[in-house]
Amino acid sequence: MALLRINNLTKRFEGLMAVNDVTFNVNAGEILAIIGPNGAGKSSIFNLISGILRPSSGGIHLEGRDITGLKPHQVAQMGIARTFQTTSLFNQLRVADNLAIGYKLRTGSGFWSTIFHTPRWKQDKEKATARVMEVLAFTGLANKAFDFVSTLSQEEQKRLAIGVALASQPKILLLDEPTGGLIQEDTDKITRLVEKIRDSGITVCIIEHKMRMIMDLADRIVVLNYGNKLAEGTPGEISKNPAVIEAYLGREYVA
Amino acid sequence: MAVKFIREKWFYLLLLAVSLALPLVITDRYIFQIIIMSMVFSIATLSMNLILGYTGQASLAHAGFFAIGAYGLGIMTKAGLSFWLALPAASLLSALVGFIIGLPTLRTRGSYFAIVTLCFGVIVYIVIGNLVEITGGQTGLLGIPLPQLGGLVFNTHKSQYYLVLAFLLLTLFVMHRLVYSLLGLGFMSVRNNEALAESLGINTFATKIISFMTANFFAGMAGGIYASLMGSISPSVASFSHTFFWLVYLMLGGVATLAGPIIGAFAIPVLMEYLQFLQEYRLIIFGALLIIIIMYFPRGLMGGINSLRDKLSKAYKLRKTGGKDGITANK
Repeated sequence: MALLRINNLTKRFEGLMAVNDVTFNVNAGEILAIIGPNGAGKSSIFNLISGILRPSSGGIHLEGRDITGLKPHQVAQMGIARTFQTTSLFNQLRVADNLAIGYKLRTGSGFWSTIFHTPRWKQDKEKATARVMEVLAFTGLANKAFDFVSTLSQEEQKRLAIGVALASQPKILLLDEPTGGLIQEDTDKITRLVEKIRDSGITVCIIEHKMRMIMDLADRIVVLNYGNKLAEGTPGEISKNPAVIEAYLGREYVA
Repeated sequence: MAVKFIREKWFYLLLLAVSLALPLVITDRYIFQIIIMSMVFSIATLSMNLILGYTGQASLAHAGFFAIGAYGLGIMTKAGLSFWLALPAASLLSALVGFIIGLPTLRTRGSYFAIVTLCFGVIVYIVIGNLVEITGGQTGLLGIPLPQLGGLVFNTHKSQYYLVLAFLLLTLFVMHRLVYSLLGLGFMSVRNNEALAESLGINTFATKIISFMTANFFAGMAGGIYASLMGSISPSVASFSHTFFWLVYLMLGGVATLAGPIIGAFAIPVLMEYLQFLQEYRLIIFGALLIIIIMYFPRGLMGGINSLRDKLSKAYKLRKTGGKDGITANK
């Protein structure tokens, strides 16, 4: 079943075709990888889905509901969480506070209930604390809960960034190069985490450059090149696809 | 939110006890006057801290909103309205103007927001100076009645002190509740990383509006109290030097801490008094002090104390867990 449908999505930047008529589905419960050379439009697609960019044309539907052109915070409330290519965190705050901010959109207490500590505020606070504990345990950061982000290692920060997105209880998680700049050992840790997320029932859409990792991890792969969709299929199909091999390795390698 | 030290509570209780007992010790009328004004400016600085320190939007219109509260209260009480109705009304007026001004200006970021709000402060100053029929123009508004409660007129320093203390505690209470909550974390998320906050479902614009309105409500309240205690006000209440002084109190005391603004608002006027003998040269010393603090304690006095406390508790934990880091290391 298609959880997220991307229909004929196009984004033009003053003559540059960043994303050109791309159509694909993300099915519930799968890990879908988006791969492609630099400048292929992978991150642009994430920015279009999450509302940071507005599409020039085309549509985005989550569970059949049109979310095209919504603002980023509205998209997040619909159940789409994302991470950024450069690890993006609240680096002035502590680990637990980062996660609590991730959960904030699921709470409803506003200004007055905060000032008067209404039952609703207390309930929200308990729910937030519970969610923070849950995500801390899930991401393996429990012993860092009260540490400042700046004291974490690169790999821990990447795990926290995923945790912050997870705290928002998304239906679908968009991961933009979650292992960028990590050594093999740390890459494996993140890979295990992504699998764990999929197994917990959250659909994952991941951008990656590390081919070996993607071939093991992804259920299906979408290949982009110069803003166009080049191919779509299982890792096995993609690795045999002549168009993909040409885009990655050059024409002479096509046997 | 996750981090709330018990020691902080003791600190506030101690502060409360000292502040309640203070009038029993202080007899000098002049010192009393300085303390009362420091408390009024503490309220202004605390409110500035919310939008500037916690939400990261450098509003330099604060004296403008202070003046709106001051003139609002002055005009209403002179028209016969009770202080107790005029003060919330004037504060709400200030918050409402903040809402209207915030709608366009809070879409600008960083230094642009600072410039736009600085301009708004100047506009308030000019408008007050020229609306002669309503504000009395450059002559100012004279004969604003003192606050009254039943038969009690707040005409002694002691009574005024407790009156202002009550409002200061109210401000502190509201700020404390806001800051140590998910809403407060929302403010800080906007300050720290607006793009990430937005992608996590936080309506950053609405968050900034709430913070700006609340800050301006309390700035207006401080202005209203100031007006009724002084009895007369002139357009200079809106002058930029007020904003500048609160900014300095905030920087020195500690941005984004609750105690910092109060410490700043007390320490600097007291320091200025003790340096009185240096006359105009004290401004040089003051300037040098400011540079030193910003260079070596960028988060102010309280910020410095907090990071020292963090380091100490970390060292303590390390010793307890035999070198292993973290909270669960000893499990």
